Amino acid sequence: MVNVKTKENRISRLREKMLHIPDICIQRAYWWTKSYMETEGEPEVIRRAKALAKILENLPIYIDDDELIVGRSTGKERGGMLFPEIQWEYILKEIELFSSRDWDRCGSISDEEKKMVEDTLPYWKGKCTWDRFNASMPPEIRRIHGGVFFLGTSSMSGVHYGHETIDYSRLLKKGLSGIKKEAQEKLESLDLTKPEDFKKYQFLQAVIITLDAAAAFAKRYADLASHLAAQAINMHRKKELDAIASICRRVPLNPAGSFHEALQSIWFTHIVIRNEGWGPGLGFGRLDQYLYPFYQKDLSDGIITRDTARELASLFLIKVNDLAFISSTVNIETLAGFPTMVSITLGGVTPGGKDAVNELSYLLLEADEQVALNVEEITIRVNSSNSDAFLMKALEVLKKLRGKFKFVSDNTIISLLLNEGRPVEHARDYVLVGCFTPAVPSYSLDVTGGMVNAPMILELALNNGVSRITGEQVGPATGDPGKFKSYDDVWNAFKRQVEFFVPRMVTARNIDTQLYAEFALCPFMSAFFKPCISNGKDLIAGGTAPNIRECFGFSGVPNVGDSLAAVKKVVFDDKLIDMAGLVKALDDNFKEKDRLLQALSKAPKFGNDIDYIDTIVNDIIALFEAELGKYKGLFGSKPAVAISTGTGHLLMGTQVGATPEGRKAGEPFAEGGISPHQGRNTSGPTATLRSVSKLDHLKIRGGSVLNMKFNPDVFADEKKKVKFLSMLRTYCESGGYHVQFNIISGETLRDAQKHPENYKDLLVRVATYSAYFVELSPRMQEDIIARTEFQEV
Amino acid sequence: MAITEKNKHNTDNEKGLVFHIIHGSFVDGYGIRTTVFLKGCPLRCAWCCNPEGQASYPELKYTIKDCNNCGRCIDVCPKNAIKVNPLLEKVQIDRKLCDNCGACIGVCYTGSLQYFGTYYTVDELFDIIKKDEQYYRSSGGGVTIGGGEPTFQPDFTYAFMKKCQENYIHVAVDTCGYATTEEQFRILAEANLLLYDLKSLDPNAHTKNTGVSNEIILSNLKMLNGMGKSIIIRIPVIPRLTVTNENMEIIAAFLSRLKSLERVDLLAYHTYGTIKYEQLGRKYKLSTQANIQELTEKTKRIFERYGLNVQLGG
Ligand code: SF4
Ligand code: SF4
Repeated sequence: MVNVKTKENRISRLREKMLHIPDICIQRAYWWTKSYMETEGEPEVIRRAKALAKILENLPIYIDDDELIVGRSTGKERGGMLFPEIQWEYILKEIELFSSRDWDRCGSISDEEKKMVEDTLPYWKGKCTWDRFNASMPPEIRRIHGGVFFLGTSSMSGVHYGHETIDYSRLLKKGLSGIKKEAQEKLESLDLTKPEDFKKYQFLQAVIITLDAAAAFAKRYADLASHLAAQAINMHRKKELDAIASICRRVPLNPAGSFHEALQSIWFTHIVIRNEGWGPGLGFGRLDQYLYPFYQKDLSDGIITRDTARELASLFLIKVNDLAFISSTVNIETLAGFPTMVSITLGGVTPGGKDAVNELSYLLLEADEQVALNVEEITIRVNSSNSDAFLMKALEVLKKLRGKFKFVSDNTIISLLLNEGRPVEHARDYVLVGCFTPAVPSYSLDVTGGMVNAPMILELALNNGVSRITGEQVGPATGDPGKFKSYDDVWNAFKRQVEFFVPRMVTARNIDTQLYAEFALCPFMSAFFKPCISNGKDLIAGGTAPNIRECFGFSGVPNVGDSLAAVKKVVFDDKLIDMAGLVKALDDNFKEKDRLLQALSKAPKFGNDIDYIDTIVNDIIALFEAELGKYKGLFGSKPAVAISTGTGHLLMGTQVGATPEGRKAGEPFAEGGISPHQGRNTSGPTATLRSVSKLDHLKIRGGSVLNMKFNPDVFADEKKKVKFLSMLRTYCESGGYHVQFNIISGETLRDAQKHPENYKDLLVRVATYSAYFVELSPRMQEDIIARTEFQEV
Repeated sequence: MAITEKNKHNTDNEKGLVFHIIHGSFVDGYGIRTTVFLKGCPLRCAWCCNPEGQASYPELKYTIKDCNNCGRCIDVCPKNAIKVNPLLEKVQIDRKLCDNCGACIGVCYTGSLQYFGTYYTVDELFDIIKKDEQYYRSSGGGVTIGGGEPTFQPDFTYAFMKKCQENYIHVAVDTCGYATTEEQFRILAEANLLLYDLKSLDPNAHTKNTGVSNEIILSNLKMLNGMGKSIIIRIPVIPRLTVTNENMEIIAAFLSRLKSLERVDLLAYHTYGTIKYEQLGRKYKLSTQANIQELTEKTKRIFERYGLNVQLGG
């Protein structure tokens, strides 16, 4: 039977393959370790470079029958990469559990693979950064780990930072060879009698080793493609394979000459970066900007059409899904769902301040409409110079994908970066890295600082430093809360707890950063950061200083705000109860305190545009920022506040007893980060947007996350879509930072029927009439579910 | 009747009684709007989906599913209006005895008992809607005063509307058109946009289904049309009661003669208000088996034949 391969089914076949559960790939762990066994005693940066080269020589390679863009990040189709140099022990302990654990399950590994791991990984005992971290951690700082300061370090996450974007345009313009030339020139200019130059010498040598290794890796693919072409029976595929072979021979070694070459070049380079030191959030930045010249040229030369370009873009977006974030069972509780997060940023302005939207921005949206997998994370920069047509296009795709894109405000982020002291051209060229952090390609390094259980800090303030769940003295004794006489007393106790924990978090963070700077160097990636080559210094060792941020992700900030507002209102304004009574009620988890619980629940809640509470949330952010501002990270970096929680709001909730906002012990905290607590924002969408946009986002330098849920009805017709757009623009132009939407599906409404408590704020509307979905009868709910699904067809 | 009802409860004439505020509505006029629902209405439409907007005083709202049968409300009710329903293990309220005094609300910790209706001064309400001003500006939106019937609290509504307009905020008034006094009419005359509800052209049917004649409503409409006001007509499509195969063309012909008509919105019959009837201890009596979608679409086709700009939904 002849296998007819049309474009459409080429894409759908490859897409389909990314939908099965990931497989663990042990290749990186194995070869990395093998290399380390062979390079004992050599300079660390050279060892890293050689280890990378070893992997690239040995990684099994494969070209799928449907592929036009080739190269696999691991030895598997959708593989999970392992980083034993960061953490090895969990891998050995859990390798068999990966296929059977409750969530984030992977395929099982073969006995042979298991043996390879068992034979090599123990090498890392006492050597991986996590072991070293534990060995150097002062006991009193270790105590805050996993409690107030959750997932405090990258070592604990078992991966590299991943929060940076290389200068892809430089790669495309110069090729690896051009960059190697720069490194060589720099190397030759060194004066090796100077001790500091000697370090640079080692770094630049390592850079050159890795650049050569990357070129050789591409050549392996070129040879494989030629080999397959020689065997191919289907003439059409033979031609394709010949083309692939010649592209792989040219890039990434040389400057890219076409759109196709540019995509292949950035993809190969990205695979190498992943293997060198990957962390979730590592992305491509402004794809619509640096690929545009190639697209334009090929189009005018008649080499591609808009359709073939879109096909290539779709194939590329599918490709980036070939990696899954595998982590220990402990870690996936806070980051469940294999969050690989390859960030791609579209829209906004050029470094010169002009509208940056081009034909490729549209084309990439269309490509993702077709691909719609979970790894490619598209962020849309909203700038007043961006056309309505572009943003409407984004909303159209958004509706089809039920809310996949993120939107960020150019106004806010550019101001934020300028405020950090970055040059205006850099500020305008920002991208998102990780989930929500603004960064400048080629200049920024963001060190992920871990998550802070902010409500636990409040609990300690309201319990004299003792955890209500464990009964342990975790924080300092800040006084008997029953004796607090004013809101200021409460605030000051909270402030003193924060003052206690922040320096400890910074210390923990610095220990980790120092270890990474010694043992987790990334010379290959560094080659694509302008300052690294000129400074002769690895990115991870501070090559781009002072453009380094250490982000501390504060979870449950809306809960701390709601709680403080409830104390202020119920205890000190309305005097319904005194502090001793409140503390007792918290101790008792509100048992037989329905009345108090109701009064606390009725106090103003964040997300309803009520200044009473919103200013408190702002005070909390200002406090965190001021406290972190007292300290400096390694390389003079400035620690920054981020407001985020991953999926950790569930786990962190279990660690904290009853809180004064009217939340019982163990219940989750607010999702997202700055999203109002589930179901508490009941005043309509603009009220929520205003609560968030009135916060001082310039103080949240690490970024924040706002999730909003909408019924697809808001997109029912063109007029409503226009209204949605102006709502989005107003939020972005009035101080908002980030927002993403759930355009709710029938599926979710089904869930709402099962768990109505989580969906109190879901509105369904007809004309002037509005009703909350959960208040409707089951029959009516059925009616609405049917309607929604109908709209989705 | 309306006046006495109002005076009986609304002792503070400075304040307006509001039963709901929505920030960020995509319906109820142009652009993004904040919709304020005022309590009290002279009509009693059989199909009303906002029954809590009818009476002009705060009413007891009882959400039975939230009641934990603690019985605290029973002890405080001066009218002995609350009893336990042993079958449901919930309390039940005798609405004939209840005078909406609110004593029980204060002791109900589950939130099962609440009020429909909160009083605001003009300034308080203005401060609330003003927060959305940036959203009005970018979208060409504004405030929509609906209800209930906004002209039923004429002094308050007028003062609130003026305050918005003095601050350059666009005001749409969603009205049933039943304005009988000078004070009421000037609200309609000075609004920036009217969402004018039209139930029936037939006086008898109108009286039967809404409790009042349509004479004043139609004459007001003609007058406002003559003044060149921006008007969107809203027609609830209720089978047999408002729109029928027989009267479609008559309505269309009537509307096509209104010069200042911008659009006609057809609001299809629905039963989303049922829960609110329950919360008020009332029953929603209207039910229909008719195919509403078909009827609405047919109405749209006929109206369009008369050159009208028709939109489904509001
Ligand atoms: S509102 Fe009605 S039920 Fe409640 S206490 Fe007053 S009279 Fe009794
Ligand atoms: S006080 Fe509230 S919860 Fe208790 S019986 Fe009355 S209505 Fe039910």
